Amino acid sequence: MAYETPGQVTRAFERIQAGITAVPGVASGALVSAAPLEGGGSNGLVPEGRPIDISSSINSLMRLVTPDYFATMRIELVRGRGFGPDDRQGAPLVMVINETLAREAFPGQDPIGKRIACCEPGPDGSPNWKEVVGVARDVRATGLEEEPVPEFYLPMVQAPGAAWSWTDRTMTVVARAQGDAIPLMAPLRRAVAEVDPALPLYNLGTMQGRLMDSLAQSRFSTMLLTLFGALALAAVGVYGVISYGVAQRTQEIGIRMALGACHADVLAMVVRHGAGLAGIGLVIGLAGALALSRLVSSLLFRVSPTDPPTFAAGMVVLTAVAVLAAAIPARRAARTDPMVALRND
Amino acid sequence: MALAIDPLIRLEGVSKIFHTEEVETHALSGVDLEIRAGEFVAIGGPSGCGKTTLLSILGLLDSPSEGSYVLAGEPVATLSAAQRARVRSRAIGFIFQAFNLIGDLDVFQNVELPLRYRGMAAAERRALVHEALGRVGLLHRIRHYPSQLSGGQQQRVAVARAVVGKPLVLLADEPTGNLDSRNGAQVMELLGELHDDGATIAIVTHDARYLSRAGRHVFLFDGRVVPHSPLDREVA
Ligand SMILES: Nc1ncnc2c1ncn2[C@@H]1O[C@H](COP(=O)(O)OP(=O)(O)O)[C@@H](O)[C@H]1O
Ligand SMILES: [Mg+2]
Repeated sequence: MAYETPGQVTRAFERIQAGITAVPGVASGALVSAAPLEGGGSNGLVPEGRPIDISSSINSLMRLVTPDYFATMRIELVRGRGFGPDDRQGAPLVMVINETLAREAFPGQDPIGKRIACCEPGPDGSPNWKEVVGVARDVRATGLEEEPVPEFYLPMVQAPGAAWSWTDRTMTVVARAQGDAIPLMAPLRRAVAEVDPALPLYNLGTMQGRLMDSLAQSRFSTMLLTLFGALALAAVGVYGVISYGVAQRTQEIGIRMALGACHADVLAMVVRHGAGLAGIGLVIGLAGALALSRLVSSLLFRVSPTDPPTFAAGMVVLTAVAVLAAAIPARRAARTDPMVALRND
Repeated sequence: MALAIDPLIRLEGVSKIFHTEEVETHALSGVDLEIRAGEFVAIGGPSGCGKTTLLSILGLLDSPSEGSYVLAGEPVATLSAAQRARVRSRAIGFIFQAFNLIGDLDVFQNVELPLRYRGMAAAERRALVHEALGRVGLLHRIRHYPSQLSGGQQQRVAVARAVVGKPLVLLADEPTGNLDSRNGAQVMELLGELHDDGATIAIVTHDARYLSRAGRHVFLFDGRVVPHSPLDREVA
């Protein structure tokens, strides 16, 4: 099937919308250009009353949706209404904005009935006004760690022609299951294939699963940060202690060299000292980690805190870092002039 | 026997110049010195005349700015620091004025150090350490730490550490300088015994009381060897 005009694209998506809601077990279904946590394309919006100018525009994320999107995702409309069958092509252009955008665009005012210019020029290059018909609760658009950003929804059927290239003509099917969601995946796939067998439906999953992934990702980065922080601390600590020790022991190192120690002996002695420090740190750290593993396991995703490979890898890395941190003062120590043994009388 | 006739140590035209900021210090100038195996040489002279510098060159802690140094038939004046370290660990035993025992190590470990740096096996090290400590009469202090010993005992441990590896030459820089006369005499007595047993010794001292033990006296003045001393006498 060829999709040459925006109209053909919209009609195909409307048939998919109809197909998925007809799947037994689906309580409600909708299409959205980017599901929550998936991000979205940003647009500059200019609220009514401000100069039509890039400097007065508010950068907002756009979501094209079919009317049942809010109900399907249980996104509450705190003011006004969502979209309905009357919001068709040719009808007055409408939009739903989120609370953050409402606050930014119309501080202290009722946004319902206000107009916002966006997305494409109107006839004769005049602003393309859309009327705000509803305010939706904020949804975390890009990730759980990100604060809500200004966001607006347009009815898919009123999508600006250019929007299809912004979204790569890709929509996300969202469906709310009456019961278990997993068994619905195959029928949903079939429903899309019936519209056009060539249309790929991919990356199927439950919203719960996506939440977990997002969570795991943020926790993973927290964990990495903590890990690198700990490593940096360990390196600085070992470096500091060893440097201090080397400075304190210049005389001793000189004596050892006078007694026959060569460069390699001095290097080895200092690095061994660093490894010893790391060893003490590891024993304490290991004991602490085991004691806290209950606590730590809530922070880890699919990795047990007492996982032997995880522990082993941590120990190897920490030891390597300590040895490297000790290597710098060790080289300094190896350059000690053995004359200090004779001269310090 | 060529080996017996050749001096163990031969310095020829040795100079040492220290450069500090814009000042050049000629610590040694044109020093010629031979020490035969089994000799006991005392090096004297006023403070700052270059005694410690001479000893540091003899002990391969430093290299001369000019001149040649042949140790046991090997030219060693131009060795790199790493090569000097290697020769030092085999050929030289040091005794310092400040004892210079390592405080974290007990008596056994201190005496054992030079042998460790030679990579000697533990059993062999043990035997030699016991022998050396027996020699200085401190076997009963083998597990003591330096801080638990008197100054005289510490210096005897240092003597044991210097001789444990049976070096070609013992070098001592004012070894009695930090000791009272009784302990000083005891350490000098010990060096005399080692000499009687065949050790080659060069000692820096300006204490006339201990000079009698030495077979030969070398006097330095302003970085040069000078041929005068009331106590000077040749070994027969
Ligand atoms: N590292 C050095 N840098 C500059 N000058 C030095 C250095 N070591 C020794 N000297 C100088 O060389 C001279 C001889 O010093 P030294 O051998 O210690 O004399 P002594 O042991 O006879 O008192 C002195 O003038 C001393 O200041
Ligand atoms: Mg001196």
